[in-house]
Amino acid sequence: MVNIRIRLTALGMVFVSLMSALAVRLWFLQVLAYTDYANAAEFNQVKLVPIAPTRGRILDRNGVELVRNRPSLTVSVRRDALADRDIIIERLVPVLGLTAAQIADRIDDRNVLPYAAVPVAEEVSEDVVTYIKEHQSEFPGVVTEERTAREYPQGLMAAHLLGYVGEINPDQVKQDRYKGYRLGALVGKAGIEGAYEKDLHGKEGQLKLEVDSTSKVIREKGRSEPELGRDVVTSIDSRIQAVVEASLLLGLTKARTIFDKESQKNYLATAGGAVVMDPINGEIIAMASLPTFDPAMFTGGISRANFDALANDPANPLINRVTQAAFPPGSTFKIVTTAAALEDGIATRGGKYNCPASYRFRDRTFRNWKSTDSGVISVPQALIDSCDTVFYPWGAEFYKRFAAKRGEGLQAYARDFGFGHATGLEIGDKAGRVPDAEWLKTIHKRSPKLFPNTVWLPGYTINMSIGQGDVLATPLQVANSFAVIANGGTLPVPHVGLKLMLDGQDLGPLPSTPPRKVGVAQSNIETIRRGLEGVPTTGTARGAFLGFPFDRVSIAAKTGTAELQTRPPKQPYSWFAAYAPAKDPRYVVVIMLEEGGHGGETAAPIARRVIEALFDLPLSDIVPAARTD
Amino acid sequence: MVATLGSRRSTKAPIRHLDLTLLACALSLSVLGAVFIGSASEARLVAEGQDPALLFKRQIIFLCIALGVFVATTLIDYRQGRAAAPVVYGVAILLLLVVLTPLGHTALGAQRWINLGAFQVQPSELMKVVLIICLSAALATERAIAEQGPRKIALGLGIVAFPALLIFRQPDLGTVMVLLAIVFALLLISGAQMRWLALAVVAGIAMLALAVQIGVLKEYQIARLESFLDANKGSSSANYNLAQSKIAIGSGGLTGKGIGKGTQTNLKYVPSQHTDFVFTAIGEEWGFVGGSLVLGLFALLLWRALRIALLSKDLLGTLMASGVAAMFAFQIFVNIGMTMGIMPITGIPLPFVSYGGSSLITNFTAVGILMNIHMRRFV
Repeated sequence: MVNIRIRLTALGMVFVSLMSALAVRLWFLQVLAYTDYANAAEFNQVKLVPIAPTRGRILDRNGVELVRNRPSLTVSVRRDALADRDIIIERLVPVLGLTAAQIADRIDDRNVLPYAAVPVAEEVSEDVVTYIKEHQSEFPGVVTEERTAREYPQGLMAAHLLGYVGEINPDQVKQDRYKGYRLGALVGKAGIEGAYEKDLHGKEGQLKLEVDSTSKVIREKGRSEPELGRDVVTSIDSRIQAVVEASLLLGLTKARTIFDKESQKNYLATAGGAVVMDPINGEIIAMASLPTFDPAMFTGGISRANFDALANDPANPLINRVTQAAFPPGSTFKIVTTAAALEDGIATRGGKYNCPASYRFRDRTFRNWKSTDSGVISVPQALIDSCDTVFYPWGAEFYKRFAAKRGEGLQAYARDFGFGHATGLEIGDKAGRVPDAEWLKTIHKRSPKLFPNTVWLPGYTINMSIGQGDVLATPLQVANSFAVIANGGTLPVPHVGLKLMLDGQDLGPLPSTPPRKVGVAQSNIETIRRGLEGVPTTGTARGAFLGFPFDRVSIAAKTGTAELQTRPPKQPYSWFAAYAPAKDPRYVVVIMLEEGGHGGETAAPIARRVIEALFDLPLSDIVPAARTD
Repeated sequence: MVATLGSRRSTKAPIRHLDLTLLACALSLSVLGAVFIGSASEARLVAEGQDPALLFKRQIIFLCIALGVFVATTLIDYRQGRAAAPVVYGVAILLLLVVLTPLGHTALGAQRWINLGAFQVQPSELMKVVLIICLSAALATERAIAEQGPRKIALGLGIVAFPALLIFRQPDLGTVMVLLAIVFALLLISGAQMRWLALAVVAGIAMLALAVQIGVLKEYQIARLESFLDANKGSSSANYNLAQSKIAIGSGGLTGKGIGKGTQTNLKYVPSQHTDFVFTAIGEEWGFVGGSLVLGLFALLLWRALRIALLSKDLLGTLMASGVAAMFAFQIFVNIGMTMGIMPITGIPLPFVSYGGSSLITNFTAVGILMNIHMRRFV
């Protein structure tokens, strides 16, 4: 009996330790770790449902709406309130005109939070909404909402420039740029919609809901209203944009009627780009690219089939030909070669140069586009006639200097004129290419089959002097290089955004980057200008500008016809770059047609019509002109 | 006759030796329990379109019945238990057998109840008290007292084996563990040699490990064990239950959110909240203050039980009181420990507080036994 007391004491001590363990644990959970658990409880019961903000509009420089929002009647389903899913879906089938599988698919959209309403059908008619409201008892959990959708009052106008919106993709959500965005949010995917996403988007509002353990909504705990997105006022002039687009389309159509002797068929004229820019400040007045697409197709989510059709179309309608496609600039590049040769003392302003039918360097012969000898001509005249054989020796001289380890002068000037790197346009653009010895080594390593040579040959520089060979430029870069001549020596940073507005209130101009000085003397620029001024009146674009009232608007321009060294060979790419008025330039215009023929023949007439529109002249019809460079 | 009359008036009369502290503890815990059962079940009942106070009212009815049983238990001298033990044991076994027949009632995947129309009886609950009475009686015999070695252990295990097996079949692992805890405590107090006790514990753990290995345990039982041992393992529902339970208690903080204001409770985040997880409602709505109060009441109760064991006139009383104390202590620790994540999830109710008539009646019977011993410590 003696040890019973001890054993009871032992049992008692076990009890004490057990109860102490509980007390300590209770202290830990409720006092030390309180904050964590309180947050967890809050997180459990309060669910935040985003309220989509209304996206800002995109306006032209005069306030004309290019993109706006319109109400879109949407039928949505609250999954937490959907009592008998299959029956409701069955009832929705005839009302919405969708199959049961389609509706089920939408309801199961994993991008929509469990307690938020899932849109099942957008853009439904008033009748559908009325029907569902009148028969609400048959549709528990089905709600009709007025959401907003992107609308394009100008139709297809400036589709590439404006871009489109779509649901943010899972990769984007992880990026810093999209911090605070949730899956399923609408974001600008391209063009201005993409570049000004932060301004256009506005700020999501939030609905605070109390939900129970089965995600059933108990009540609304509060809401913060979404913030309106800002309107972006662009430098686009919708009137000019319309003319540019129509002229480009007309020009391409006309080009397809021209028979090309080389390929023994009509020009394909598959695509084209056109841009109008202010050469002083780089404002984009108009930008067109064909073939195009309907941005409205992306509203409310583009179907996989539709997107694939656009993305896999061999004509690449989604590619902006002005910014996202680079081609050999052809003879429009001769302004760079001229500036480089004059600056580096290879040519002189007053010099006279031979313009024979061909030029021979070592074992290779380089032909002029004309098969006749034009005699001895001045520097401006070389530009007026686009005489290749004047430029070839200059290219050869640049090569010799390179071989003598005196640098790659032509390439340096090309870069100074904005080639080989993106211009800085907000919507982004391609860098193009200024080929040099270093580049050749790199590209050879990457694709030895396409680029078998590792050594920079003289022919490369000689071809580059007339904008051929491996040099590639976007139409925007060509426009920018002409702006340098037009404004007297600075390279502007092209931009399309002018200012932001909120609810009709001006938020001030968007910051712009000042133009950069280009290393070309004023006197040399003057020489080039003299040449360009002769092109439409007496030179390669004379045919296209027959009858043009030069007394009212003077024009400086350059034609270009680029050959692409591809197999099978492509038809020539037609270029035309101009600025006007020639003495006090306000606009730079660049036209480019893929496999569209010769510059003076097909691109120049389009530019003429655009210039006529810019200066309120009666518009001419597009008539293919003589086949010139 | 004179002696009888004299003793009734004397200071030794049982009625003069009520342990009111003990009764007050049990009553406070029961009333508190009923209140929080009401709070924890209200939202669910409203959602089901029932009377929001339904379970509160039923628990109060159970409490009244339990108090009747308590009074009855105190009236019969506990020493009668020695003679009644074989009969009580037989009846309890019979009821456990009935549970496993088609007369048994199945709920939540286990066949634990006998259906009596409006109510279900859970014989495994009663078995706990029956085991305390029978094993105490068996260990208090002269032969058993003389035996200190393996035979004593064998006697304890022999008595628990069959009922434990029947309850394990229901399945109700929690109650089996309560029974084993009672056996352990009684063997300890009755003077079993420590080395044999230790051996029995080691053997018990080995058997549990074996049960896990050969698949005698149900999948959910293993999942609960796994999620206890490693939060990354185990089934998501076991992890979810534990996480929500901890959130409910932790978010209560120092003073709680107030009765009826617990969000975890009202929004039904904690499963089985009016039964096994009722402590979470107290923790959330009354905070550390309320939780400590409950722990304090339990500590007081255990102290009174051990005190009664110590004061008992004979070994039988000491053993019965220790058995009751062990039963309460084990259930309290495992149940509250489970809601706070320091014990695995098992279906063991919290004495007096959890919803359920059988459990409440069993617990008041046990308190009745304690009172009985206390009252008769001088006669």
